[in-house]
Amino acid sequence: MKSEVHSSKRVRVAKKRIFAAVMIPLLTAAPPDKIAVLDFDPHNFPPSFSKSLTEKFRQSLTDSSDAVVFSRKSTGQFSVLYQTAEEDYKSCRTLSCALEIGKKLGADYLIAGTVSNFDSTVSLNMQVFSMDFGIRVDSIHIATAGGIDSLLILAKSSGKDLGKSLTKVIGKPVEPLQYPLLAPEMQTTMLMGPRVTAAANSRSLSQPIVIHGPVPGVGLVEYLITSGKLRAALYSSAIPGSGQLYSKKKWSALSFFTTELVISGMALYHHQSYKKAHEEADRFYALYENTDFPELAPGYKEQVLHHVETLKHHNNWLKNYRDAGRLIWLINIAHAYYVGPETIYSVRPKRTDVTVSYNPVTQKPALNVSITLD
Amino acid sequence: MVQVKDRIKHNFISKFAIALAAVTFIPSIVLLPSCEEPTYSFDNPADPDSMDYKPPAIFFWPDSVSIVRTFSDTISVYALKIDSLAAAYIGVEYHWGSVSIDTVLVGDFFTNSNTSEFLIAEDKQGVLDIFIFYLPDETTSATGTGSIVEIVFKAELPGTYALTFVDSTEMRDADNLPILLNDMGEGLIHVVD
Repeated sequence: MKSEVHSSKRVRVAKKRIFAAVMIPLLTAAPPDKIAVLDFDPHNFPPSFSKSLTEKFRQSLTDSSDAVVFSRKSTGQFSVLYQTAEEDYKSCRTLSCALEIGKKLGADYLIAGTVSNFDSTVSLNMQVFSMDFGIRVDSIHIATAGGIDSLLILAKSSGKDLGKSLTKVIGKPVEPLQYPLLAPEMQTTMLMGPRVTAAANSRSLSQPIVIHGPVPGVGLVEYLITSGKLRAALYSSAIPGSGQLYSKKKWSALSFFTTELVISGMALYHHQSYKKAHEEADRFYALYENTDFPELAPGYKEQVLHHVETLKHHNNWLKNYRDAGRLIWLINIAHAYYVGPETIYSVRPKRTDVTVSYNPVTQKPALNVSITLD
Repeated sequence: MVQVKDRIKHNFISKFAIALAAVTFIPSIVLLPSCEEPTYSFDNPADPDSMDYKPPAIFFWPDSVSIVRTFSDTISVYALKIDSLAAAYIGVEYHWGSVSIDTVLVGDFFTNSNTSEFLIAEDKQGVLDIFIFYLPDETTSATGTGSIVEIVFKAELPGTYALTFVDSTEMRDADNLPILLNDMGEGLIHVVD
């Protein structure tokens, strides 16, 4: 008797959830599409202009659609851990790479392309990938002999057209709505801490768990080694500016490296001058000590005192440059940590899910059982 | 998790290289150049500043010599920071009979000039009168510290004997004006068998 009552309650809960699955999409407006544009890969083309062209293209996409277009900073701020250690977004032209990066960035569409200059013809090849469909949905080729200005105009125009088509013509596929039947605390069996559990329970079943920052299950040492920010700081501690370069902050890297190089050069110059004056002072002091001629001793003494003054002068400058070098070195490490890429850990914990779903297209409910095996 | 571990393996060598660079680059450029400033003690006995003479002055150098009997050694008469010295009379009192004057030579102080100098030395059995001067052209003079004359003494009898300047010792400049001496030193000759 008790088991019948319990099962009838389950059925009522399931009915309510199926009703919610049908009604919620009708009552809530669809969120705007998110489009990520990776920096166009330059071939025989100025990299700075390639970035500028990408930025103009992003702007034209933003102007022509309601979509959220990720800024360059957003697309480049993550250091994603790939099995192939691929970190250069620009070189991503394959479908699998695009899908992986697009999902990491949380984009609906990802656009990657190359801009090249051969035989006085500048061309822009772009590929548009849909994260929802998991396919390449469009490919655009622009070529002009009218130079960079002409390409810029064509790219802007193409961006506007693409923005309209992506947000109006291509609609998002209707996803079956899924609702867990098990209580949240029963779903995740991994013992990786509350942050992992929360991240695991908030995702859809097919997605990996993505956590920013230290992960309890990863361990402190592994986090220290693999953290992008700490790695940038470590690089900069070894060679000033290298952490910034790792974080793709070229100007900061150049500034820190050049400043440290100049300071080190000046410190080295004063160090050498100090050493030379020291050697001279020692040489004249030895002459002073060994002379038996009263007429020579005052001259040697004067030389010793002169070189002591010189070495003191260089030593003072050396200390100043050394202190400045230390200060800038510390600032450089702190800056490298600040601008360092945030690390994303993609982990797939063991998990057991039981969900009921309703597909509005086929108008059929479905029961999904997922058990992760070792 | 597997990805993280793979990453650790792949980057171990590069991290080691970076750590190595960190411990070599930073100390060498930024941390190491912490230089100590040397200190020197100027206590050479030959240094006039450590002799406690108040310039201008004259003194014997070496101020103490040991000579084996029947052998000879040289003691110089030094000028200390004398300005524009053109002529000098130096009277040296010594223990006649125990030491004797062998030779008197012109020192570097006077010979550094292109002008010829004159030296007259007269041994008066206990007092050596030395006259040394440039030709009186009213321009040539010597300035500073240096040996005026070098006296070669010959040891005769064992003992310790003092060398002193007579009170009438005097210096004059190119205008034949007297130069006031603030100090006149003393010397010792130890004659040993």
